[in-house]
Amino acid sequence: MEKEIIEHALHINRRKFLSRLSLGIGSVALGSLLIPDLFKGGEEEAAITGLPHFAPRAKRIIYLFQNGAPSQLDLFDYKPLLQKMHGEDLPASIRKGQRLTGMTADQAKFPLAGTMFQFSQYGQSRAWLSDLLPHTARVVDDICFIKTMYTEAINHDPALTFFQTGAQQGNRPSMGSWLSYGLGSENKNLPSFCVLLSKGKGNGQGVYSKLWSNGFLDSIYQGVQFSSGENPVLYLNDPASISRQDRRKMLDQIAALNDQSYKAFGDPEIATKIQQYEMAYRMQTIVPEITDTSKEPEDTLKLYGPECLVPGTFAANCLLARKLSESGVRFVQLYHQGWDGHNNLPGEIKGQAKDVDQASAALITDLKQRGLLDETLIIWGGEFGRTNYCQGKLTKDSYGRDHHPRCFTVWMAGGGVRPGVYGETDDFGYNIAKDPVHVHDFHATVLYLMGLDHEKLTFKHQGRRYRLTDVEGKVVNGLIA
Amino acid sequence: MNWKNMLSSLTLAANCLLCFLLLFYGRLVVPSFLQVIGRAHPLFLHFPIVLFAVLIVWTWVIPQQRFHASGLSQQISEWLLLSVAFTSAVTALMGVLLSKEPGYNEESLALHKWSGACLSLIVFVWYMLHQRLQASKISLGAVSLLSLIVLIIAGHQGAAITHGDNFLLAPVYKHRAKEKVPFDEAVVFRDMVEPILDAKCLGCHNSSKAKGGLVVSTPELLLKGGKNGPVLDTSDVNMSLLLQRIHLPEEDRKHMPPRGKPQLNDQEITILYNWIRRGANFTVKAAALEPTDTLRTIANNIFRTSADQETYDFAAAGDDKVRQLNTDYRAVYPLATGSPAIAADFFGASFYKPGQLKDLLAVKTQLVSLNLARMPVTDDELSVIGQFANLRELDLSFTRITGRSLSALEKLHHLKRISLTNTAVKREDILKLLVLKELHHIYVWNAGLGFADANEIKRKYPMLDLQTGARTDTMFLKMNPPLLQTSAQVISDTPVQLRLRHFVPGTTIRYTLDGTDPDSLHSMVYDGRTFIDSQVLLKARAFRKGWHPSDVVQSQFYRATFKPDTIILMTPADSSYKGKGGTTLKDLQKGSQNFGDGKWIAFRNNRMECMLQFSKPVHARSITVSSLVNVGAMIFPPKTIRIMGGNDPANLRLLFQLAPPADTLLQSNYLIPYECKFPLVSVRFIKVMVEPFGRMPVSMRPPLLPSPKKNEKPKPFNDRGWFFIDEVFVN
Repeated sequence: MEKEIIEHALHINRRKFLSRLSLGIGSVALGSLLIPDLFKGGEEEAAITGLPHFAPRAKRIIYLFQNGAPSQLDLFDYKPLLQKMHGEDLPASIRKGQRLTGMTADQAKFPLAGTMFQFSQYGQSRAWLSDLLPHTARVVDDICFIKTMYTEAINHDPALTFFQTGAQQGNRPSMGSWLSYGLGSENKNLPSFCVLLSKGKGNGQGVYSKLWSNGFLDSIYQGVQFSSGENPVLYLNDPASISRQDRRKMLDQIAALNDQSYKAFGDPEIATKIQQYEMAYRMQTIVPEITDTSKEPEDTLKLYGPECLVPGTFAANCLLARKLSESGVRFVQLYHQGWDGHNNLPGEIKGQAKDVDQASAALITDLKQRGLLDETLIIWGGEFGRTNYCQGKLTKDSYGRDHHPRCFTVWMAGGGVRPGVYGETDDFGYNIAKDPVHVHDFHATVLYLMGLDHEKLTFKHQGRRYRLTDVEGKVVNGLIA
Repeated sequence: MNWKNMLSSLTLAANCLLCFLLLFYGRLVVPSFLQVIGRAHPLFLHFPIVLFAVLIVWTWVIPQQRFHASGLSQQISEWLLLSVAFTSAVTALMGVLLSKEPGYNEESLALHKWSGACLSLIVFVWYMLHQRLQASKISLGAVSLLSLIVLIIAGHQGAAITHGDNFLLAPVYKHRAKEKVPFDEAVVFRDMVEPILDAKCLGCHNSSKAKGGLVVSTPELLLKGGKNGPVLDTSDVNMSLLLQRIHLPEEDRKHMPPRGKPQLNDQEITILYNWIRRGANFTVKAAALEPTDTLRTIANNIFRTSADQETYDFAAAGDDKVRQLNTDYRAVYPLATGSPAIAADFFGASFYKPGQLKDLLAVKTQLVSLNLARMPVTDDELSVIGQFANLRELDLSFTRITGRSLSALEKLHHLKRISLTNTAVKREDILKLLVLKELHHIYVWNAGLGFADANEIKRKYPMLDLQTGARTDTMFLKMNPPLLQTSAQVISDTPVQLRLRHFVPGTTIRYTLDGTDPDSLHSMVYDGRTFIDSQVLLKARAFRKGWHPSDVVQSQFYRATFKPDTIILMTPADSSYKGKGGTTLKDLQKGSQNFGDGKWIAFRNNRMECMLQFSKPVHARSITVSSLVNVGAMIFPPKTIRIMGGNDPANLRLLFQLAPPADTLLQSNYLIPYECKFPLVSVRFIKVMVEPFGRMPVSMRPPLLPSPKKNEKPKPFNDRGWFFIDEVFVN
């Protein structure tokens, strides 16, 4: 009897309930027919096809990273006011309370240090370059100088990590890993992300494998560091007694064993290992023809300089980078250490600039004459800039510069970048006057040139979707041709 | 209180006022407090509409018989009608007040105004005559229908004014929206500037309103200007009135667009500024601007969205087909997600077979980019390539083609870019390709045509981008020096092999052992078979035809024939550089120019005296004191060196004495051995005594600069020079 009373009060009985239920479900089904995306969780599908989101301008990147932070005031950013005010203290109105590093925090004064080097303007873009970079001056019309990069990090480790992974804290995937994850490798026989190291004689800061690590992405996407010695890839050739077929049989058996392990434990590293073995097998045939520099024509020697055949130098790495890139490696990153000019900067920077100038310019020319410059993006730059004031004693022919995150120069060439000069710093070379480009914006633009929407290339980890640009970053349209 | 009468009178008054205002509309000026009432029009208009709907329902839908008897229905009809009449009259009045505000499209406003006024009058008349109208169904129907139609017209126009034309159906009609202009056809004025003027200026500066006498609807009228003169004075950019007005601060009374209206955003201001600055050209196309031009960059972003850089008119090939075409040495992939265009890359020259190109015919319509660089492609295969009708990019660099069958490519009408770098293609073959109208980029570095031919072609076809690459035959660079791979610097028992290496094949290394600089005529050629067994200064240099000789690389070799059993330091070394005492001097470990490397010991405030002891007498004829000079670090050549020898440590005789030449040049920084030769003796004890430089002259002292650190007292200055020694060689 109670049931009937309740039913009567609610004006509902089983029949009505079921019929109403079917109506409700039916309407939802109708909704999903009309609105196809009604039940879709998100837009992750697009990022994982291994294809660009839209037609890319660049297919590959060669990133010439100048580790230690080259001094933009002695290379790219001409500030005659500093020469006029040489020795005078940096006004507080310009410094605006910028935090200092531990190295200069004790300094009583911040004497401005004008550059010791001559600057001139070059090319149609009338870009300023110092006489430390004569070869770069000849290819200035292919280069876009971004004078107004800025970052928050003031020391090398956080700044390097920020540049490579998009956050000052570590454990995130590096730029190359994101590209590898988003686009894969063109050539299955080569890794999609390669790293080459070299050192100059200047004050060096270290580089570490965190900068090309895969973070939380699958470990197949990590950067592969090539050796700086005479053999970039060691143990490439099979020993005399093992034939290729033997090697293949061996790998098959190992793969079968690893597969059993994988089925038992499910460790994703095992899957990566299997893939790495396969990659190594394929590299055995392809890599020798790439790393063989004995047949380089005289032209190449003259373009890159004879250092390009000396293993371990920046020039040799540039040549290898070009060969890897034209063979389909998606992201080749070079690190050249030694730019950290805290003391005796004029003396050190001469050597550093000489190490990199000819080879960087040669890379642009070489790719251009092979018809590859339009699809290869070349980036050159460090992790932050250097101060306009002297660190330590300012003498007649020497000065040092401390770290400066507020403005620095990075240049890009090829790959759909608009040549010219972007952005302006103030007369003191301390603050940005117009068109700032933050590291996040830089990343967003690079991804855009590669055909990826930086907001769509995400990976869900620890409950949220991470991306290279974290939660910021805007594509800088002024950089794109 | 007869509410009905009062309301009816008010309605009559309102309608009369309405007619009056409409009659003298042109002279109407609305003070600001009335503007407030006018702005309530969009709020108030809902009342007559809803009440009208209720009226219609009441009159036509609800059966009247039910209420007829009580006379209630009559009353309800009357009240409804009266309220509709009153509210619509008030609404119309408010509308008139609102219509005087600027920024409304004239045509829609006129229609809306008159239909709204008509509605108010029609309903009022209906009220006044409703007794008579009610008698006949036909007349009632006619007046209802008429008012309904007028209401719909008025309402629709009102919505069009507020939300824009076609608001209701816009979502359905979206795909028929204005055609997107492709970048190549975009005209700066028509497609970039005019839309801004239409959206933000035309509302007031059109032919009906012409605020300030300025009309911007056509270029001629725009150029004519307004009552303050021309607005596009291109001769003086700063004075161009249009730019002046839009750049004024927003609070300024003269700032355009006026406050309260939609403002120009940054990009629009940039477009207007740059357009006027370049002469306000009405016909120039965006594509004709310089690549570094700001307007062109903006145009790029407006007209070229990333998705449609190029639109393709063919359908996609199946995903399966594309996947099947991928092998380890051939990558076939769409250009982007969802794009029908396909690119193909080949890798691994040793794995290339001609058949692999034929496989691609399965996607011959969709193939847009083909990369065969460094593959052993021959001329016969060009006929296959000629079948890829939609090809835009073709890379044949470093292949084996000659030019003779390039004609096979003549059907590739979409080809934009071709690379023939390092092929045997000749000038005539390139000219054959120029029949392709879209082909703008050709790469011929190291191909079969010289720079003269290439320049001639470039002159004849200035629009063609013919890349010949860098000229290196006129470059004369300096070779890099050879690498010394012999690490040992001290030779004692066995001769050491001299190992020099140069990484550039075909380079000759020449060397000398007598301290002279090597040259390409007289010096010895390095062949890997040289051994060094004495104290020599090696100098080596690399030579290569067509290059300047390299810098000299040098290394000093030392000989230590006799090794003492012990060396005792009889005077102490300076505490900062004590090494391992006497042992440092006989460990045959040469120090470097980095004098802090632990292989050096140094003396400053006292002279050096050390005793070498041999268990068996040695036949010595020279002692070499290995030292270094670094004037910048205050390390100077010593004042004197004295060698004493004998068999009785208490009774030694002087064997040799030397006062090395002084060196006080600030840049001096080098290693230097002091060789002390004397007639052959047979001794068991040798004593070496060295007097360091002593006090530096005042002129040499560095200036006392204040310390850069805060609150630091300057340290007292020690002006004595240093003497550094790392080895003593006995020969």
